[in-house]
Amino acid sequence: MPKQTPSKSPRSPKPLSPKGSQKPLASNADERINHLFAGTEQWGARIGFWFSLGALLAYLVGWIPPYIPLETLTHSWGLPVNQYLAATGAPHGWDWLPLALHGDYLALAGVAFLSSVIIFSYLAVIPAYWRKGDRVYLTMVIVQVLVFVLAASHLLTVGGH
Amino acid sequence: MIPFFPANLMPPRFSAHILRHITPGRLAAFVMGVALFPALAMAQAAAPGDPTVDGMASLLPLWAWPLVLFAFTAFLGVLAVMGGIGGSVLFVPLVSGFLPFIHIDFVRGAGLMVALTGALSAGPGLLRNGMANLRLAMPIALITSTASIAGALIGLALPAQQVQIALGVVILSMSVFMYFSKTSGHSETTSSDPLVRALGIQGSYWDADQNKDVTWAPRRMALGLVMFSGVGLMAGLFGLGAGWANVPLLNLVMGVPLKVAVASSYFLLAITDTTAAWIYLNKGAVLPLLVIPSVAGIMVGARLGARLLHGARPSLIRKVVIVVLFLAGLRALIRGLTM
Repeated sequence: MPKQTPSKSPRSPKPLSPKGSQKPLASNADERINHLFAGTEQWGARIGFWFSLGALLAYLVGWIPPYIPLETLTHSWGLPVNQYLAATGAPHGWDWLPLALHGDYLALAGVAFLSSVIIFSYLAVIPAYWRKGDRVYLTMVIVQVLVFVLAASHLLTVGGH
Repeated sequence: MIPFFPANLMPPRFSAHILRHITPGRLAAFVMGVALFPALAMAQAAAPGDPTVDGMASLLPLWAWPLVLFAFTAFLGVLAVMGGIGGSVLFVPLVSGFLPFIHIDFVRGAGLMVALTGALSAGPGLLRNGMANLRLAMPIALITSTASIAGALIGLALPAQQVQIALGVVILSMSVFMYFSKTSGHSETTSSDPLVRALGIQGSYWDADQNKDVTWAPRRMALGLVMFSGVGLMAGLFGLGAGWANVPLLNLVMGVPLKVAVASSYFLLAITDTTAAWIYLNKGAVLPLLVIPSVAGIMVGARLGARLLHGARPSLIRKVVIVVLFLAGLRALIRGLTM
């Protein structure tokens, strides 16, 4: 059951089957799924990166005041994360979200967006797998999204050290 | 290679003019001067185990920190591309070694983001040209990302000393593994593996070197999935990208052609590191001040490294990277043992 992506060589616009027949290995649906995934990933990464960089610059030059002063941050970043949170009053889990109007947490919002780009890409291909009727991969994509959501939910917590 | 990075903003002629004058030696000297000497000086001044070193912050003005990180990681990016490895494999041991006053929890969080962003930038191109294979990578990614959650939870619960020791052992083993590792050029065109057949995993790509379409199918899928769960665990535990393990597993164990293995590894990295990164984010172990300059630096360095690769001897640089990794691993191990 060969299903695969196409090669992009100008000499070989469509990969052929191993036996040399003219039947392409990749279906149009697979090709669309690859492009959909790639497009979402590319634009998500661009937006996330430039947003993060802009927010960091605004934070560093003082246009947007931080929640945790830079001096406090650099004096405390040698502490283990639990002690750092206690020393600086920094939030954990999703508690940073209401602080996103501060420069440091606006930059963190950009980092969080970057960390979500792959989740958006998976969500984008769910309808395509549904239309294709590929139940195995549709299930796999949904389970993967649930794993991402579990990781992002802050339901999984650990003790300190 | 890195489609969204700032070189796109420079006029091509201007960019080419600058790059013509950047030789590997000049670049290394410049970055060493900008980044390594201040970092070394601070590393000397820092007292390991004394986390709130007030004097450390005053060694440099606060605005200089992102620049130091940017230059340091740009150097790592050049080295990583020329050595054919992921930037975060160098990032975690070297940053925690040269900047010991930053706790390893935050270095690992930044290392994951460095690996993730690098994979995000390379992934779309590799998917579009058919080198990365979604049908192959998706089942593996599900296993590695689940295991990386466990790894991240374990890593954040363990004392820093144990993590440093384990990191040292892993990095040392990795350098030895890289020294002895080989690649396999053999791949099958159809697979008798029932799991592979059930999932319909088979691929084809245009190989310019061989001037033909190469058709392939993986083998030993179940064994590969078991081994990948260990890779995911380590990725989450140490904040490493794990590309160093993905490629040999795909190529040597599962019989995937090397080019497809490298490309699919980027896809796997993006998924594994997304999961682990969220655990670090929720824990509060991701500092934008560390992450964003490091990500930008690695990507500028990777782009420069890709340009410089034409005039360099890859085998020599690979050996240099192996030695750097070995020394970084040794330093992490010694630091862990003396904490």
